[in-house]
Amino acid sequence: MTDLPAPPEPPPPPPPGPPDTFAAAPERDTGSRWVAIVLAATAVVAAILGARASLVSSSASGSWQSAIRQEVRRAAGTVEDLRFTYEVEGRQAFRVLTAETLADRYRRQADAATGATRSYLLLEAEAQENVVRSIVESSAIAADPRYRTEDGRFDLALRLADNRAENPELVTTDPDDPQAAGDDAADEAVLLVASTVPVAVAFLFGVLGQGFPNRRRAFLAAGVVFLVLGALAFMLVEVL
Amino acid sequence: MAMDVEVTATPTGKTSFEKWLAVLVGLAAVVASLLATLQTHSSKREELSLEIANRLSVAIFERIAGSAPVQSFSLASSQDALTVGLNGTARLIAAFDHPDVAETAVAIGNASNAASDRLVRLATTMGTPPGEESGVDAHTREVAAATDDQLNALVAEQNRAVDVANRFGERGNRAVFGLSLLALGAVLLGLAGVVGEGGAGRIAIVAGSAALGLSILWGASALLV
Repeated sequence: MTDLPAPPEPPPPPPPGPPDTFAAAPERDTGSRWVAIVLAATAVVAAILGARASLVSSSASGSWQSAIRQEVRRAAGTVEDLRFTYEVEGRQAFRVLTAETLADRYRRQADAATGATRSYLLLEAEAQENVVRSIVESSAIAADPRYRTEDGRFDLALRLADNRAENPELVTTDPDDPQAAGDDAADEAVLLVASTVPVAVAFLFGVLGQGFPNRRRAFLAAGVVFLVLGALAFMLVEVL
Repeated sequence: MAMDVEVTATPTGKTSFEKWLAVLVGLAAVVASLLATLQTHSSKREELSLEIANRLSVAIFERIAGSAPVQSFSLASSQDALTVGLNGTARLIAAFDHPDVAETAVAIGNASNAASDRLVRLATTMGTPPGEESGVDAHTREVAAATDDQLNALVAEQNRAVDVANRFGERGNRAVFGLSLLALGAVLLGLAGVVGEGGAGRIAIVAGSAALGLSILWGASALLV
């Protein structure tokens, strides 16, 4: 009979490792769990407030930038219409008035004159009338009788109003609208960030509850109250 | 054997080190929220003031450039009208030296002077900025009729807005620096929590407290700007 080999030695038990804190979990008081819940809730509310405040703040910046763009756009349109009406069309219209007036005065003088003087005055009057006809052909304001007033001048204000009306969106542009929207959004963003103060106080009470177990219940209660206050402040800012 | 540190630390469950750490961490959170509010308020006010300053700069330019054509038209047209009169007067004077054509020269001179009188009146009327009854929108009327006093007032307002922006910019910078100090303090307090009660932990908690105190002081100094 042959000897059977000896059975292998059972493996040695594993060396004791570091204390497993999870193993003691069942022994922990429920207060620690409440502390964890309050702290986690404050973190969540603070994160929501921060994210919302960031969005609203960005919206305020966008509205203000829009106000500047509209201001520039409106200014460019206004200046261009004033320049064109008074420096281009107005000057042309005044040349027409000058020639018309001279022609009229020459003819009046011709009525009282005789001979060569009369002929020369009539010639000058006709020359000025030719000038008028030449300019009127290329002048929108001089060619349209709507712009002629009873005293014989041209109504540049009416012409300016018509020029402005050609681009009505420039006339109705009001940068104060996005300005007001930006102001409101900025106020809301600041109030939202300010709403994190009671949430931070709730966090303070939460960690105090962890640090001072003897008064944990009171600290946790205060923490919950401030957390609710912070959430209420958030809702109020959003609603109002 | 598993061991719960919380249970074995002290009869109350916490060491004074842990209690201080809890107080300081909680205070850091409150200070962070206050500094963040201060920084947000300051940055928004700075941005708003800069935006107003920008808009006023555009408005000032608009009024300078927009009122100039009206004034320029009035001035140039009046000059043209007066030049017609000057020509007429010059003819009348020159007619004395040329009696053979004096009758014609005087007639033309008188016609020119009469035309000049009328043209000066028309130039003045047409060069007047549009009024409320003109049909021109209020903004354009305001731009066309801008005066030096109004422009000076706008410039002063624009300068004030820039000053306000600078003040709130400085306040915001201080709040950000306070937040930076606070972040450093929070890191040190976190380090103290990880290291635990001991030499390194005590150094970390003292340094973290110092950073927290400095951040509070810096934040308070922002309010003095």
